[in-house]
Amino acid sequence: MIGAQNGVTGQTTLFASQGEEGEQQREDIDFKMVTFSLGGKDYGVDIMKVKEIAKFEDFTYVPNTQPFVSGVYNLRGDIISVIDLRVMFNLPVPQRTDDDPEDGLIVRLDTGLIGVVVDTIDRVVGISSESIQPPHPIFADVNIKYISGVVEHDGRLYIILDVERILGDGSEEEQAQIESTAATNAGDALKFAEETSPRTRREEPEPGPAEAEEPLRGASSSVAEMVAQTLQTLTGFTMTSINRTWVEERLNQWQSEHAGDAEITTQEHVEEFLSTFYSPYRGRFWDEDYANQLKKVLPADLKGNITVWNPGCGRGHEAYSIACLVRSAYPEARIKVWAEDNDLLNVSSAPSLAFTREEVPGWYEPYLVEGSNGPRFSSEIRDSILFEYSEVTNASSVPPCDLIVIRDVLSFLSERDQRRVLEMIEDRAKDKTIVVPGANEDLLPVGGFTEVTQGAVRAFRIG
Amino acid sequence: MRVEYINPFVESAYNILNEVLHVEVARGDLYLKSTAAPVLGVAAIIGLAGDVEGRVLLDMSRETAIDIASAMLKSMDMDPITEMNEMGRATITELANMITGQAVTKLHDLGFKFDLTPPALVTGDNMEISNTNVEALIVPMEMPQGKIEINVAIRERG
Repeated sequence: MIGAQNGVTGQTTLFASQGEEGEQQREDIDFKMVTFSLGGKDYGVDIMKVKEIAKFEDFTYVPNTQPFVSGVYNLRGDIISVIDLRVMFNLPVPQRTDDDPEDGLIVRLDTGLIGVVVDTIDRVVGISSESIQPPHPIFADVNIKYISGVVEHDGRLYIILDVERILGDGSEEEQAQIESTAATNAGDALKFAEETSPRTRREEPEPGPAEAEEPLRGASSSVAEMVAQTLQTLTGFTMTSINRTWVEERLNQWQSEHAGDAEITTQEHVEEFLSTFYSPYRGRFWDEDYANQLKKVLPADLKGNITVWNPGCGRGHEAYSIACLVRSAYPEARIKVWAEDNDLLNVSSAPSLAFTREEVPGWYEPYLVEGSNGPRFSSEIRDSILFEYSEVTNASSVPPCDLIVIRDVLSFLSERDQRRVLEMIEDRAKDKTIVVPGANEDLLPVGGFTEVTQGAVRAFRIG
Repeated sequence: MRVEYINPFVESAYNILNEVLHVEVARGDLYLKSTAAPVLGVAAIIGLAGDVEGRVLLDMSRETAIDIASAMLKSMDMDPITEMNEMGRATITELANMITGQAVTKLHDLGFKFDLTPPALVTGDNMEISNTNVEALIVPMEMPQGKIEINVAIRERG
């Protein structure tokens, strides 16, 4: 599943609702920030400026640049500059081993994307913009010019950085100022390094009564929007009409399951929130019931050439299952499955997928042969699948298809890319093309689809 | 791009560069680019046909091209070059031929049959290459002379 592989990185937090203390004074959460530590202090950046959380490895060093420029980094094909805020602000940089990736953010500026290295990414915090106070010079080792405000949340003081001012197209004068700030703070930083270890992760503080809360017990759509914004920044999961219903229902469920402590503060919480999203039999073979339900969805009168498109095939379980299923449904047809994934490691191992007999339900039996290293799929099945290393949003040469299995892929694309891929799906449609999205992805709001769901298999016919 | 094609290109690029330059060659992370991509300055193009259609592009800056051509010429006891002259162009073209040739040989052993077109060398600033409906696999290779990007776009005949 493409999006899932892009994955969640960093120490992350999702702020949901607290819900309970109804009598207490409430604040409207209208500002969210991604928080991180630099030299042991807490900082925040407006979530709207953050494209994603990243782990940086293997910078390409660029000679003759400012010392705070760590180098350039290849972000899935886009080359971006990466700067180290600790060096920029002359804060202590902790020792690290070579193969340890660095925590960081990809920040969206008016002038483009830029990577920022920090000590550790902490969490996403929702606050009321009214509670942001103007900066006071005492708060930071950072020139006051680059601070857009200070806010207290959960007993911690966050300094909100104005990334546009720090990293945007600055004049030479500004650059000089950065350097002089750095110089004057050098002494402080040194002292600071003795006092604290910046890598130490703090204990999660108890939620205080004064913290901002969601206005409603039930998941109102604005709460869903807030959660969605956090999900998107941290995992790439984008709430649109295809999964909005799921997000809202899940949020209600989450709030009743976690009564009194619905705040999502750890990586585990984010994963737990999305854990019920994924389709069944993800990364493993399908049991007979599921296969039969998908079989019922397929049109009865297909023959000749049957083409299947399977983006997000992962290690290949899905593609092999589809090939076996289509073969059993149409024994005479010529089958071609175009299976693709953007995870090079996973998809490279797919053509020679290794498994044991115990992993494979009985209905696959006619399509298995005994190889020297355990069971494998027959050459007829293997030859019908074409595994490709491919990004689903890139142009590709997949011909018109009879079946498109795209489970849990769309939700992890940006809204624009979702639209693009849906257009591609339409372009590749034949007369009665069946589209199988994820179990919690609904194509009806998109328009142009008729639902033909069977049991656990959510499916749509184009037209 | 079909996963079976990836390794032959990566391996042959690594082998050939190591062999002709006698230097430490480091392979960068592979990634995908959508159709239109800028070209660094010197590009050797070889077309592929047969079961598939596509092309291989060896892309590098002019300085890198001169340094690499010089290193190759010196290893054959010939004079190095200081500008991209006829000898330089011929040398880079030959490099592209060697890498693609070895990759195609490896693919042939795996049962995929490709034909090659003679290489063409294109030089200039601010160039862009675009193919319709093929995404390109980029294999970056780093060496003391600079960076070469091997840009492979192959699609199956549908």
